[in-house]
Amino acid sequence: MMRQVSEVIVNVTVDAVTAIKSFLVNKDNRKPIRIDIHNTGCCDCSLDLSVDEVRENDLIQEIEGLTFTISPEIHELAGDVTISYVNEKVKKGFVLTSSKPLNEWDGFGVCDLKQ
Amino acid sequence: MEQYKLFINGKFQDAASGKTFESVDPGTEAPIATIAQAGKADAEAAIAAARRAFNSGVWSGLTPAARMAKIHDFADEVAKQGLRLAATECMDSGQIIGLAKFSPLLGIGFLRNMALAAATKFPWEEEIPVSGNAFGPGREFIRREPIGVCVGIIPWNFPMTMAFWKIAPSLIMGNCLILKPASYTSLSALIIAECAQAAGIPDGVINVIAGPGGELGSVLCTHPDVDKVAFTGSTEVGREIMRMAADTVKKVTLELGGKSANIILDDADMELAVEGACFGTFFHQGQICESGTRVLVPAKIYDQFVEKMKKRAEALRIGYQLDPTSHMGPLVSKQQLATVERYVKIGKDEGAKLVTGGKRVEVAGIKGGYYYAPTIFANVNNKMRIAQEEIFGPVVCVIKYDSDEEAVAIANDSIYGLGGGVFSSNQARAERVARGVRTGTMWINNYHIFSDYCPFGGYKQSGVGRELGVAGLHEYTVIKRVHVNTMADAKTNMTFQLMSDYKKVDGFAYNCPTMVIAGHGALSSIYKAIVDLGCRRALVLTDPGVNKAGLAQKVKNALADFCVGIYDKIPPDPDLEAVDAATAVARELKADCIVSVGGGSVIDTAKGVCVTLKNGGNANDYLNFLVLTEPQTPHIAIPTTSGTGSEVTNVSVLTSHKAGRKLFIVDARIMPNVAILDPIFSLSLPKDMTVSTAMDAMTHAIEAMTSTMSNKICDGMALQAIRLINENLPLVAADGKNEKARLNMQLAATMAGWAFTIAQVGLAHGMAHTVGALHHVPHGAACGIILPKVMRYNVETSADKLAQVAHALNVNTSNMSDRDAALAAADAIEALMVKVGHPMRLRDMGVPEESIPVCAFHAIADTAVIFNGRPVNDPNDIIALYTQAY
Repeated sequence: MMRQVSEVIVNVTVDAVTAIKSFLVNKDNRKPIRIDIHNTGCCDCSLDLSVDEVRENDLIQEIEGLTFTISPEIHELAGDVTISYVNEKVKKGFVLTSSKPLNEWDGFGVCDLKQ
Repeated sequence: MEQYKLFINGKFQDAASGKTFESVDPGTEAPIATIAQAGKADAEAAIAAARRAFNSGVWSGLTPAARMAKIHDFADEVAKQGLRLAATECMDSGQIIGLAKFSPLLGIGFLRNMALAAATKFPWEEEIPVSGNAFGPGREFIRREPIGVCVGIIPWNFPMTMAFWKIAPSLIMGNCLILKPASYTSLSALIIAECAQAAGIPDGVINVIAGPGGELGSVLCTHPDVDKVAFTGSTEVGREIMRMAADTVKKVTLELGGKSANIILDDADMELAVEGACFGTFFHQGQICESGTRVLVPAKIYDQFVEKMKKRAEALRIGYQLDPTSHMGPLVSKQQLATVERYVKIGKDEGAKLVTGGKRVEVAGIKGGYYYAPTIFANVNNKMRIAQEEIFGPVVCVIKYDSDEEAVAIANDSIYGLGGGVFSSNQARAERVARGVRTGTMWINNYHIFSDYCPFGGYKQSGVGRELGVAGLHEYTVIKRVHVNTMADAKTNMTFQLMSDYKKVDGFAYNCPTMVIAGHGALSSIYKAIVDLGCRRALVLTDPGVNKAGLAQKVKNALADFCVGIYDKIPPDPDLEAVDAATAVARELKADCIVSVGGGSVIDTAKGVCVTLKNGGNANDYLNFLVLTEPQTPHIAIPTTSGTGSEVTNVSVLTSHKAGRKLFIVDARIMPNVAILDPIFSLSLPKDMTVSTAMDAMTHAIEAMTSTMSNKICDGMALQAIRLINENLPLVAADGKNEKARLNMQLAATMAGWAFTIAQVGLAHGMAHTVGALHHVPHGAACGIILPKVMRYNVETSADKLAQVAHALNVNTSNMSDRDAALAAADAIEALMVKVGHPMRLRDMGVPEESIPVCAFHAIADTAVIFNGRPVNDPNDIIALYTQAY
């Protein structure tokens, strides 16, 4: 059973909302956005975003017409998540930070929204 | 609780902010130390210290041997701290003591091995014997120099080893370093800093700052005073570091993630393979980037193998890391534990079969700790996330396959390529499989074996560059090319002259090592000549006409037992295939010397054979300028014409049908070792060939004098050649059997060859090459027809030289200006040609008038034209000359 939360567990910047909506329109997709752990090798994991289904026990939050979902275990581990978007000369993508950083590189890298 | 400080500029100090953070024992979750937490100001101070130290030369200016001596002191201090380092590493990182106790010894060995390699074997300076630029001669060499200020950012899985992997090569190669250890595991790096301080490594050469990667990384990877970043960690962070470093174009080496395949072949020793699969995955709790976390198992032994792995995994003892009986300790952090749990859930959700594990483990007597059971997933599809993403924990995916080819394809179906293994009782088969996997390291019947001299690094998204070994040392140097001009003279510099009106090249090097044996009966000298060359098996190369005339047989007789055969299939205007065919015969006969008997075509072919016989391959491989670095197959040349001078020159002209033109091997090392000028070999030369080849020699001589590369030695050779041709050509034209005149003509051709092989030729040759290539005008005849026209054209720049030519041609130049004498020389050449019956017009040689413009455009691009004494820039000039010759 999923749970619509009343407290704020996900913060999304205006730029990030715009980028996500643009991505979804281009893909003709209105599914929820999942926040999950992703490991890209040697040592430290990070948070990332993907278009996914809502699953049992997921926490979900609606923001600006977008649905964000996260498993309770990941929320317990990472805390509240802030999603921003950078579009700079050499850095482009979503930056995810959390109130309980997963490691010392929290927010250092960027990720794409995966289909 | 112990307190650790930052190490900056040779001193331990608090963070500028005064902040500290705790390090936690992952086996108990108890804090064990506080560490000063560096921020931006500390990172900048460390960079400044490193930059000062580097620029001062206090370290970078030492010889490699002197640095080795200091590294030995450093290693000795590490030895003194060995027990402390091992215990601290164990408690700080969760590494079992059975492993951690070796880490200081391995670090010491690495320091010593790399220092020794740098001081004794590393190619700090390297000569480049062949520069590839014929116009800028000089000594060419490279120096490998330290890059400067390096940053090393290391992960938490092997903190001490990773610290040594960054410290050793950077310092040993003369750089200064800022090391940033992982925040979970900073202690061993700070203890190593104590060792460096105690060893007297100069202040600023090594700096260690602990603190948050995101904040410090942003400074370290963007600061303009940092020259190189070496990072070991996640692909996501590595990618960002590479982007950041790009702004100031830092050198970057990255050692990133992996999802390596450990391929079990169906003939593998089952016990060994099961051990290899479990060790390859569960060693150090699976927190190793090159772990074999995809175990590929043949379908026919799959179930049996999985069952044995399960049994072995369940027998592993999980315990506190300081307990010497523990096979596996804790994961490094609760975050890592949660990550592993998350991936196990993903695996179950994806439909993989959990065979064993998949749960936390409680260790008796300990409350807390991040322990996790060795976990095996079976029935894994390689597309699943657990097979594609690195979990970095004790979780293995066992994947079924049906053939070796499928196993390799599965292994390569990954964004990573860091490690991998093959287990098989058939070494050849295992090597074939290993070759097919695109990865940086493959172990056969082994896993996790690192060696100081063996490079480590990744393919694909597993990284950039290599660590360890000499390859790893190279990553900490930058190459400087040094060119030292042969002649320090503006007027000998052909490239400077591109911006100068002075086109003459004053300086020169005269290198004509061919021994010339000349005179009646000279042929008999070949018997000793071949012995002097250290040879016993001479192959005679010739053409059908010369062979038919019995000249090759004379040579064979003179060689006695030293002749292994006569090959007479050399065609006129030889092509690359002619060289390759002759070379094949020479190889088959195991020839160790080539004797060429013929005109320029035969001798040029023989030069090509000598090169391919010596170096392997075929003639097309060697169509280059000045690339040979050692003596070629010995060559004795016996000319049967008196024209090309090929018996002493450094050129072989060969037709390339693919290129559609004649191409060259040009190299002093193809000059024949011996030239035998025996007049009996030219007595039977027909008159027309006698005349046209003589005019080729005359053109060599005159153009050598008027070229931009002319010099006094070559002038002397050329003038004597001109005199001899002028005096003797009419004699041999009248009587081909005049042996004395024939010998003089041979000497003239050889001297003209010596002259032009150093001084080059000019426009007449460029124009003759063109009508030869486009309209098959014999080269000597074309040279003769065109030469007087070009001499008149060159009067503008070469009147003095052509006046000397006139004198050599026996023209009475008294009371003449140089210009008038030069013009008289051209007239004298034409008079000589008329006297000996040489053709006088191109129209008589089959050249159509309408092709003159096309010929002009070809000729202006001919290499010979570069050296013409009067610069040729306007094709209309050449059209005018062709028209005069028409």
